Amino acid sequence: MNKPSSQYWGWGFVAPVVVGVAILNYWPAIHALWLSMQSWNLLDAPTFVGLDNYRELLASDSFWMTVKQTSIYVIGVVLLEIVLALTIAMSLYKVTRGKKVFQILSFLPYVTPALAVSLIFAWLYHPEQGLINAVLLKTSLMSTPLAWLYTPWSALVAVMSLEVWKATGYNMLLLLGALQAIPKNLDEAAMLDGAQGFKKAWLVTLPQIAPTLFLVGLMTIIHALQAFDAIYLLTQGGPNRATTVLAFALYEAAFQRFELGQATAIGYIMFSVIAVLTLIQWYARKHWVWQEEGVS
Amino acid sequence: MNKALSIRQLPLYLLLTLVAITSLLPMWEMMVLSLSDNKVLMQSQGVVLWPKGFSLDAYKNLLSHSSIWIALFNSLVVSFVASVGHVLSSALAGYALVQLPFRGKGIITLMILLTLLLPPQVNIVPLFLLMKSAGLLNSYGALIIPALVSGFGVMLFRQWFLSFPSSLKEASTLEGCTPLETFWYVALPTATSPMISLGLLSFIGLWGSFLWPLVAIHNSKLVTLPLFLAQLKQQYRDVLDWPTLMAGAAIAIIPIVIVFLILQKPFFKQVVSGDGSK
Repeated sequence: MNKPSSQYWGWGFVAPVVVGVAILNYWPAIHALWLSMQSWNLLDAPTFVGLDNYRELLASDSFWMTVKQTSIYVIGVVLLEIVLALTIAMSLYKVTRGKKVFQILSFLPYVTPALAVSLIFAWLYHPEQGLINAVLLKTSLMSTPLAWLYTPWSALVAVMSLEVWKATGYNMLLLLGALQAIPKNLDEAAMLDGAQGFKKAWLVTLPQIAPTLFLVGLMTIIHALQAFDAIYLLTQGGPNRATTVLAFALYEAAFQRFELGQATAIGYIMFSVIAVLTLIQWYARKHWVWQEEGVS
Repeated sequence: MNKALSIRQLPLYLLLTLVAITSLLPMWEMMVLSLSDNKVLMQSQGVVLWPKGFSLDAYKNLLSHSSIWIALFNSLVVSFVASVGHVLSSALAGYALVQLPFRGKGIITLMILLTLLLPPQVNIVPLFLLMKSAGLLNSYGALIIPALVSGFGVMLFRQWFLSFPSSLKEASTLEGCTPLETFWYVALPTATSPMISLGLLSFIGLWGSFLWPLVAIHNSKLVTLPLFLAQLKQQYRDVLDWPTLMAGAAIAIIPIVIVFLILQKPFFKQVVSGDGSK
């Protein structure tokens, strides 16, 4: 098997992906770093400005407003999605009948295109005829109808809710997979020890799926940072820039104002955040998650 | 295990029913509005839970434009071709990483894994410039090529082929198969589960993809469905023709829901139980 020619087969097999990620991931990432230190409008020759793009961003109030809104968006969406996904997954894990149907229905929103969903939600948020106001008024959670997409705070809540509606199903599925991989004997041992209900979930089930939970959390953060589609269609970053998050600001800088240097600097700031979070989750996993190896 | 329904499960069923309603209600609203008569709808007040003055005008109106057919065709071609390519490139690499001996495996695995951390937006400007200098903007290439490889896909197949029995591989080598023949005729047919899963996820992603086409495509012949919907919203923003907008959404949603329903069984088997063979 270790003939020199077999080496070539291996390299040949991985070549498409290696060449692909080199050209489509690594080269652009390096190029972006260089671009983030240029002042360039796509027409004139780029000029080197060092870290000025970053300095300008960090000194601008509107950038910090964007960061604040992105943080609210990401933290809110991730917490809601994880809690909901975990609740649904645990329910699906427990029920004995109709599991398949509920599984399909709770995953369904994930398959729908974001632009189409945004059109539908534009109607659901309609001040007079939208279902959302109607439900909130009926249940007395609200006393007057709200123009969801035209009020700064609620516009952000509106795009966040859409994302939670659409993406929770995917997380639910990954967590359900982790739940079903828990060895059955562990469940039985917990029962014999008298651990049940909430106590069992907290002490036995959660630690078992913790590795998946960490990973799902990280992936949801990375995904939520990319929020763009619904914002583009529903609010264009408004009203009063209240729904301008980093990804939308990047798009505006790059493809509406043609400030390519600033746009890529925003991109690198996003990337740094993700890198730091990844390191944190990596260490957290090592320290808090037990039994990672050996069980599976 | 007691398979009977127990009263203790009632709260769970209530919760799941609530989730199911939340999933379906927006799509119900979409269908209801798309089947409404706009004149009647505009005079109506309050929530609309049933078509107002049933009419198929919105669909007739929309489907009489060639642009929606072009968008449907483009979305179908791009999503299908790129998904197939993505599955093949991932399967090849994933197989090689665990089943073929070659040097530099560790570093290549790491290189592929690290791409998972790179949010696509970081690369969107340089990718745009790259496609521009390659003369690929406004082409199918711009839509398809960036979707052909991913770290996620490779890792999925790598995991799958870890448990591929080496006896099978050796047997086919003794029969005189090259590694490529072994892969194609022996290994790949065992991997229908990850192929369906990755293919479906990839298809869903491409079908809904918006930001990249928005940036890379400025040619009405190459518009995909999400781009078409954005233009539709632009056109009908002031006219307030909700039935037409919802019919547009329905035309984008219904095909992908059908694809999902066809493939859901093997898909859930793979993703949820982590093993399609059981």
